[in-house]
Amino acid sequence: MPRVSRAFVRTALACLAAGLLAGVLGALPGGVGPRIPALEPVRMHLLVVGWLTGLVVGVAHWLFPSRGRDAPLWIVYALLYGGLGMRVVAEPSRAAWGGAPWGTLLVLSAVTQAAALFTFAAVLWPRVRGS
Amino acid sequence: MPRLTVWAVRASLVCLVLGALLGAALLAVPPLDPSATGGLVRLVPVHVELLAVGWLVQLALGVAYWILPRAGGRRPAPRAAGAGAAGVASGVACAAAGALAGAGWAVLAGRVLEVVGAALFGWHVAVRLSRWRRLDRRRRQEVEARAEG
Repeated sequence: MPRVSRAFVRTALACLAAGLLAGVLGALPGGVGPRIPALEPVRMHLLVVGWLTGLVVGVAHWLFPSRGRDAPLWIVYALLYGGLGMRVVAEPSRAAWGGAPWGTLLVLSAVTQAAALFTFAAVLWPRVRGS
Repeated sequence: MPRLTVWAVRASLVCLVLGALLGAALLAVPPLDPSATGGLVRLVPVHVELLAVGWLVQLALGVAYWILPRAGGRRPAPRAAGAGAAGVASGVACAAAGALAGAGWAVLAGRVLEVVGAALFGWHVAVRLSRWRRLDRRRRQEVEARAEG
């Protein structure tokens, strides 16, 4: 298994744990634990982008025939998890305090995550072909 | 890689790119233009449809058709698998277009196509796994018989 695939799978597992923990935090009764605004979209994206998509990208790189070049996948890794990290910080912060810096960080997060998925699609596309 | 896998994985990559583009717009537009937030709400179900069914389900179908075990090196019921994958792909397109246009009947038609497609593909998987299980059992019995003999 390539090193980049292992990094994807391990980070995906960390996102699964974080997403499940966010679910527990969101379900705590009033007054127990911190109230974090915009927790629900963050939880959903930790599970769907961080866990499912990260796992799929890592395993797809391992499974689909390649010439052993990992560099583009490291770029996808940095963009995808960097963008998700920015969202996890910026979305609740913007909901709590507002302000342009958090909005800018959200825009940056949107651009980096979209760039990650475009890059992944471009890298995988030529590797999907009939035998 | 079988042709069905190539088509299903490529369709899933198209859905990934479209869904990611919509998701980026949903995340980036409110901070840039708060007045546009209301109009974006309509895009949320399209974003979910494209990524949850278009990307993840189609990729899973394509890869399953490729790597699930084959009894005697053959994939049984290939027409059911092909019709199933086509049903899911057209269902996603129909449901996403319906959600975008606000046409509830198109969303319903798309979801029905997705269910029928998934059921057809499920039939292919069930037949394939039961044939492989039978073959596997026969092989194990032969190995045991040889070991006893």
